[in-house]
Amino acid sequence: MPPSMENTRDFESALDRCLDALIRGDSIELCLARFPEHAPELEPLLLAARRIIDLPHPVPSPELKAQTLRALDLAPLSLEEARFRDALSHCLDLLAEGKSIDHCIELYPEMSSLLSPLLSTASTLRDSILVTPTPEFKAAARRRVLSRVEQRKVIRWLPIPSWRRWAYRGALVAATFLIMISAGQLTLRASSGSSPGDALYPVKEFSETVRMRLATSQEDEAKLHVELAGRRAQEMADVAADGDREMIQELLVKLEAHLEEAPRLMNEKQFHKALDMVLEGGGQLDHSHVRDLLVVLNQDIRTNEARLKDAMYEVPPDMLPELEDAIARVRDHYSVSIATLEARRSTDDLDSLNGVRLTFRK
Amino acid sequence: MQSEQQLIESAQAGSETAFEQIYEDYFDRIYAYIAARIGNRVDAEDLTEDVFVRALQSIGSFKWQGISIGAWLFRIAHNVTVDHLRKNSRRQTVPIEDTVRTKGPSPEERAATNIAFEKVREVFDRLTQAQQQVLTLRLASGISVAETAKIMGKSEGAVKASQHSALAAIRRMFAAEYGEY
Repeated sequence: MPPSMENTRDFESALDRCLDALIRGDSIELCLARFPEHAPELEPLLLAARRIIDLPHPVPSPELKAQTLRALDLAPLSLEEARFRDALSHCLDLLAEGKSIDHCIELYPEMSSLLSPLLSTASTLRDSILVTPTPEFKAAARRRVLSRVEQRKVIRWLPIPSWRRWAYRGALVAATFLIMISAGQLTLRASSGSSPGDALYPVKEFSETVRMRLATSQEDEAKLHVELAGRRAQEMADVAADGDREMIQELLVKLEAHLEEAPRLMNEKQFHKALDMVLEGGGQLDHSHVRDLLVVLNQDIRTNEARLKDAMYEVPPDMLPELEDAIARVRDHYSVSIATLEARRSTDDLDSLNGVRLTFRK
Repeated sequence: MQSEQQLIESAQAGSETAFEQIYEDYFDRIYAYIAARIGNRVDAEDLTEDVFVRALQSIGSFKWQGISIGAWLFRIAHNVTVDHLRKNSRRQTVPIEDTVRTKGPSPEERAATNIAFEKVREVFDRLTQAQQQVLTLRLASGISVAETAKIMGKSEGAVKASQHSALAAIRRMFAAEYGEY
């Protein structure tokens, strides 16, 4: 290798390590002391990097915070507010039991001016939305539903003995190897729809690892992470029907890791592109990859939520709260991933780098 | 009289009487919830039956973990309703005579009441899904704050706050739309 190229590699390596250290919170001086041979070239770049790192991040307004706390019922309530809500709840219970508004007001005379209009609204609303089933329909539905109780007594689930299940899985694994040898490509394709516990699932995991290794850019890696997050959501829906709690949690952790990695890779790439631009003296930062990824994430958040909600019909009832919690967490992680990308895009605008360019001219 | 736990155990063992008891205890309230949310009597009948068929299919795996059979049934009803609304994209308009209970002695008074009900329902449809769910559970199905909180996976305080803000929002929107309440 020619000495100049080797020198460039050393410099790039030093720059990479210093940038990582800066992001972790180390000082510029510490970096320069670590690589004194490159200090003159490193210093302006690290100063520019420091300014980019220190750009302000969007902070929610106090009003938005307070509004969110109120919505989540985490904001402190005054004693009067708490008493009023209790009284309203009690009165709504009484209305549902057929008691009159006047009866309620008599119980809480000091709140009558506030309670009366709300109870009047509640009463009108109740009368407008309350529908009772016709006796004919109720009787017919009872006959149809209860006839299924009889059928259920006849059809019983016969569990397969565990040794037979293992034998079955073993046979599947053996068959998979044979198929892989004779028709590797077909097997790979078939494995893409497999779920944890399936014989072909290890093939799927292996092919994902290979695809990740073969990704030629950070943008491609980020897109692949988003695709794999979608696969984990699909697998969560599949294993939920089997009541496999541990596997749901395991898949959730993997999904979270993919959704953390995607914006991190994309933002790192944008950061380096911004630095290159500064070095070249200007230009327009290309956000197209970020926009594309945001489109996919915004589609996936809806698709995967709907997919998991559909799974709620299939899961054992005692698993419903856990699945609901998992759905909420999936939604949160997609939202955080989107917000992370959005926040970075807004601070990556070239205008915000003007100060950095001035530093270079000095 | 059997406790709820005994009732469920009997239903799980295949007792028709036990499941019939659960059916009788909750059928009207589940129907009222679904009909109020989707606003269509025919679809509400299909979906209510569907809720009990699903409940029957999965009652064998119901376990006591701090959730009552009622909360469980309403969760199934909620999922069925949300799914239906998603497929049908918006709440349907109900012929007034199908759902509104007639009030007042004269046809004129009944018509005036029906128009008032229709206006309130229009405003109700503009509330958020969570606000609609709270008010439907509390007012149409007569479910307590504690049970509503379990069904919705929220705290009792959040349910109280939500019903208060929802009723206030109806008054506000109604006044803005029609000028008076």
